Amino acid sequence: MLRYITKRVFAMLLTLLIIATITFFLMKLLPGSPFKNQDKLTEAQKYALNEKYGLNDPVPVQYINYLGKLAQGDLGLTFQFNGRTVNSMIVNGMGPSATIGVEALIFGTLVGLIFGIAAALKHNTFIDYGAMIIAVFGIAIPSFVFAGLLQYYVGVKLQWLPVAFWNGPEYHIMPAFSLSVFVIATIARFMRTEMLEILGTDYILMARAKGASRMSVIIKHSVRNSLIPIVTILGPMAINLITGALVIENIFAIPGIGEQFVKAIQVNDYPMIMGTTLFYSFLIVVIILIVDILYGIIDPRIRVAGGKS
Amino acid sequence: MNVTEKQLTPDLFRPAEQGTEKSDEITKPSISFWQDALRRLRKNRGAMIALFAIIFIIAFSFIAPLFSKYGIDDQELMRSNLPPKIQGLEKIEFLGVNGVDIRGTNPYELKNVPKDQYFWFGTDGLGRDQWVRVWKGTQISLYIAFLAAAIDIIVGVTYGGISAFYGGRTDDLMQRLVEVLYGIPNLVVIILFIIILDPGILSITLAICITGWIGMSRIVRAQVLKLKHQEFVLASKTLGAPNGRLITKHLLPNTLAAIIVSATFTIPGAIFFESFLSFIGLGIQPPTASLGSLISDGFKSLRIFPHLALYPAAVMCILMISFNLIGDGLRDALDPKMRR
Amino acid sequence: MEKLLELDNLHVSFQTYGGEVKAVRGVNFSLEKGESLAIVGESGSGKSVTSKAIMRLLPNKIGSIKEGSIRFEGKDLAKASEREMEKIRGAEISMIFQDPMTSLNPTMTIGKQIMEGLRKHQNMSKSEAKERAVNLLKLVGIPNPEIRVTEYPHQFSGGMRQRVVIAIALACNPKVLIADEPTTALDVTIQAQILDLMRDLQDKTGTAIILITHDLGVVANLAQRVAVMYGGIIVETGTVDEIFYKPKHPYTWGLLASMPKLNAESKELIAIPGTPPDLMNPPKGCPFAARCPYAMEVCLEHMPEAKDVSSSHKAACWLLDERAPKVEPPEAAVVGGAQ
Repeated sequence: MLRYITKRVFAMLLTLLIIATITFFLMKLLPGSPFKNQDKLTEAQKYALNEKYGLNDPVPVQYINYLGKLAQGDLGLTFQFNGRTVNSMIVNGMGPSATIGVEALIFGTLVGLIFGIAAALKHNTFIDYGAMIIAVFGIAIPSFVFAGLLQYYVGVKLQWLPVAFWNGPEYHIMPAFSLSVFVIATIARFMRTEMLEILGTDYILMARAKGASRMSVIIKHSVRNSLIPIVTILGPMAINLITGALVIENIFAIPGIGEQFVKAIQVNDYPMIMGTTLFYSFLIVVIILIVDILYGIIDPRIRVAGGKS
Repeated sequence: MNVTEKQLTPDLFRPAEQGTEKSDEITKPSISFWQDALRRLRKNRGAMIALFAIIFIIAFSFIAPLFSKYGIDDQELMRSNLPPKIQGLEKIEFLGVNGVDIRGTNPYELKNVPKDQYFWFGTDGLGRDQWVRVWKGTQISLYIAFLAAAIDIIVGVTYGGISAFYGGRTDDLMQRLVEVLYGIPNLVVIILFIIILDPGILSITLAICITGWIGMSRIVRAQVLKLKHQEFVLASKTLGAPNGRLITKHLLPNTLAAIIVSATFTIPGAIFFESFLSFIGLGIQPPTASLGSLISDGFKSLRIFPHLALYPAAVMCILMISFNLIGDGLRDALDPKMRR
Repeated sequence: MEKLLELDNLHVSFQTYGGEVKAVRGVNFSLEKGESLAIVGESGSGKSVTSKAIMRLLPNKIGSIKEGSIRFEGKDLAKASEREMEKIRGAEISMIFQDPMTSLNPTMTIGKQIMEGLRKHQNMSKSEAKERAVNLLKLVGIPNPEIRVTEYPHQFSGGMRQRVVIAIALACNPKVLIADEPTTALDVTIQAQILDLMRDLQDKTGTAIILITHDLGVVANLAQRVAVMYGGIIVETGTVDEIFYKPKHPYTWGLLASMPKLNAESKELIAIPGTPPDLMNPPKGCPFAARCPYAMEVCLEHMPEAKDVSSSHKAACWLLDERAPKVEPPEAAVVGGAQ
């Protein structure tokens, strides 16, 4: 198991290095300077600015410097605000982004599990069909389109919830709910399939032959065993949450990382784009690694086999 | 058991005239895999409705713009931000297509638009006919999606097929590369790619494909690896079938189902990413429009002119749901065991 | 002797897309205390369905008991509520399934799976149940039971798993043990060990066994009485000796003829031609008529009644009617020195 983890961590570092390199050189290829809009600057001032951000050095030197700083976790200075670091911007944005992300994940997982279990237990009934129709909608409709529609109907027309901004718990509801729709749908579908498969196995029949009650068979045997493979879809789901949050923060004017990222794209703030990109990559790669290791730990079949997955 | 003795006449105890072949008869005609899949797909009501919805939207995206005399970029500030108005339906209040906006005023009268002038989906901030823009936008979105799916199939099938068919070192090397690429979040790659290339139909399509083919190649590789060692392929090989025949007669047809299913899910995925890019300001640039860019622009003035976002959003939702339903239907029909 | 379990005119049907499948069509048999009965038949004959019906473990919406009764110690299980059945399953009647590879929960330790029934039926404390689990593992011949009790199913071989399944089934000292093809999925050498174990345990515990199998070799090893099932009905019942040495039903002859013999000159196995009847539209007459080389016209039209051959031996065949021609069993079906 330890060897497996070490191997995976190295692979992860390699992936991150590749992403960092690609990001760096792609940014160098970009036409135009970040200061192109500031026409009033004199040549001397521009030179001074380039000097300050290290843009006058030869590219390989810049690359080495960049990797060196990166190794220490330093993502550089943003172009937008004088003297502010990308790190501080990301840290600032972390709060709201992580909040709605986690809220959406918890709410979505709970509701998704309930839907999935109910659909499986009431297989081929109205409940099953209803849950699966909701699931198809949830998977098909992009969370940001859903968010916009929610904002219009619940926020603007019905005025039940604040339309935007970030001033208290009631401001979390719409963004977190929009994000959670995909989670609900994915988990409900996955759980249903898993449950149906497990309910048809011999060991469920065996448990019933022992005299176990319906409830105990459902909870101790089927739900428990269905939950294990759920872990495998957490990775793709986290990626979807991050993608969705990028846009949803903009729709609801939430001061999170996603909102800053979009702003950075619009004003060509290279260090911020690079920094956020790397941050996202790091997040996703780490989540996938954790999920894989977690799966090995909770499934006894893999645990004892020494992590052959 | 309810037989009374009287009914049993001695002549009943003669040996019966029957052959054992009778019980061996196969009564049902044999049907091919594809016929069977088609039959299953036809029985899936959701998938059939979805199929008709898609055909309808595709056809309509070409026909509908002809109903308007305006082009996609015919601006006229005098008739900007008009709400939808449809002849015949304008009397029915709750449909909201009577030319009156959400504040209750009628911009058609205020802006002196001719009485016989109808904008079915209203107009945008530059006075362009939203009807034309929505359907042209649908064309663009679908174009990107189908192109992306086609590129995914070509690259993915070739890569996965070669990797699995030749195996050994070739496979090892090719899979190392895929592993590294697979580790990179596609979100990041797509954004970076667009920033460099400048947003456009082709660059957006390429950006979507740059990681998209990997999924396809993995599916194809897994299928071919599985098939390669099955008896019927080995038998054909033992009989001296050349590689070309193995690939075209055995491997490809048996991988086709997985390819089709995977490609069907690529399409909504591409529509999703295209609209995602529009939302973060990296989508199709004006005057061209896509469903994503229309919805994204519409959301900016959602409170005052909801019609700008709602109509393209509706078309997009129908498309996305339909493609997903068809994908599910195809998957269930082609491989009942693959249900997930 | 006292009847422990008595099935009377049991009918079981399945609702499928194609229509109603009449899997069991009027089965009668009884089981006495400590007795072992084998139900023999090919796949689709209804033997597994009968056993699941006794446990009331038929697939929920689609399978149901249409008619008849299952009397267990005077109580009709066919009409028992789910709650009553929960008290009986595992405690009074328990079951062993065919495939030990899939009949154990892969994410639960062996110990917990044995303890589940004990805790439910005998209100044992955790430590008591654990002690009993270790003893049970010892009883079924698993070495190092104290250690193995904390292990997971995948750490056991197929034969060992079947021993664990037997331990689970015997945990609460049930009066009846239904073994549904307990050795089919195992290697031949392991099969013999498991059968030895079952016979040994039956001697020790006095549990009555219903053995469901298609393998006559297994029957000879374990059972005292045999019921031969075909097309959803029992075509012949009798003691092992009666079935092996004086079989009356042509289907039983076919089964015996298709059994490999050690002393036969011909190494060829004799198969019964044809396939079992379609139970969606079961034949009016004898289900075996279509494959029977001695079929008469009456066989196609009327279902034969079970006739007493001796006090313990019954067969449902028109050949036993006095009007029928005399037919001798084919040579291949005569068991000389059966194994």
